[in-house]
Amino acid sequence: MNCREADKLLDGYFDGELDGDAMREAALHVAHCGSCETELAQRERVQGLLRGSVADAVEGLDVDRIWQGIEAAIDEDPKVARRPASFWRSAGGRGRAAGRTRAAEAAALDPGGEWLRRNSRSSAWSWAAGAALAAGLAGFVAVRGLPGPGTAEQVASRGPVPRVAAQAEPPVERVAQAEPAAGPGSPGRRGKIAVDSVDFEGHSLAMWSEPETDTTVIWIDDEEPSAPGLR
Amino acid sequence: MSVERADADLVREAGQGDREAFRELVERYQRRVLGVVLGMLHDRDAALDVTQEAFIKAYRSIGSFKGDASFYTWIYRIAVNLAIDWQRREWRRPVAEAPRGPAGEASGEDPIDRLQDESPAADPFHATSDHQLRERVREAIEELTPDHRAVILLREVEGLSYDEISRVMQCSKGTVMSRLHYARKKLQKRLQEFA
Repeated sequence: MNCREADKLLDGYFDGELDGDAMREAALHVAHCGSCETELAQRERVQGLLRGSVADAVEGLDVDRIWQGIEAAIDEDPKVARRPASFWRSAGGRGRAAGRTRAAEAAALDPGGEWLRRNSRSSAWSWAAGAALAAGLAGFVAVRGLPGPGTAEQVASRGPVPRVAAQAEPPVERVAQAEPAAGPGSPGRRGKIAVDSVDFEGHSLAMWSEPETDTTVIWIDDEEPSAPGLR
Repeated sequence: MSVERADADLVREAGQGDREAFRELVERYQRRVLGVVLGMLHDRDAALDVTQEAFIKAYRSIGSFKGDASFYTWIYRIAVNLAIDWQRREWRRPVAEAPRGPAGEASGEDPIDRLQDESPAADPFHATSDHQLRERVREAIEELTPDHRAVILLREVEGLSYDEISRVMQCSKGTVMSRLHYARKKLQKRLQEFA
């Protein structure tokens, strides 16, 4: 075994992860190779440095703060093993529920507010990303007319999406509408693809409808407390 | 004489709402989880927050935790994912100088800097050059991607096996070995003059 071959085994040898034969071969090589022995010594030294550094750094920290924060969060919302929420709860309620939990945690743990500021910022980024995604899809449909067959099939495979039970007729703005393009991937498609924008009781909704598969995808910009009909 | 209860028993009891059982799990693993997260983030406040959030997430879903995995690989996975997310968010933010207090209590202070200052005798490289070594270690770790940092810390600091790391990182064992090799080479190269 030369050094190049041994180099491939050195990590496993150092970590005790080689099988018996490989371990013996590596040990034999290292015993007679100063270069590989040095290589192993360097690994050991870096390992020692990392271990010592982290252990000492943790030693100086107030770890009691961790349980205090956990307990405060549990007191705020004692539920365990929450099952996956329904689609609508996930789409409309997740942000608010997470927001309430985070706010409570922040109040308990972060009187100065730095933690809350960080998390608020990330929440804002989430909303911005969602809005950008919806705008991008609307633009795509407006320019290209129809998503590819793969995309349509993926959307269709999710099954029909429940429609919003509107209490009053909201004003609907047609953002885009397109005839499906004929082609090998879309034989026999009928109807029009439409992207609508709706302002409804303080909520902004965007709907993408495909009549062929009777599929509607709805995005909800839910900044305000939502109406019961939307949950 | 008290007998330490098995993780699986504590997990089951915590899943039934036993808060003390969950507290025992937290106390059993919080320092280890915190060590990995702190090594990844180099920010004490952030590390405490991420560790705490990891345990809160674990508590919320502990009833659905499957017993075919060990609790500690599960909690590591949650914590490492949160730490990676935190790092990626930070990398997208503009760099700002963290304010430093009179006793070096700034949140942005490198824990390696601090421990070297506090316990020079424990530093094997102290006789060579503390300052240069601290800078090199910090730089070398920061040059690693979050995934590489996580792998090398899980191996070198926590002593997890390749299989355990692959479960934590949700990648193949080959990927673990590749990342570990790369991270070690990089750290060794950066610290070569001190070795």
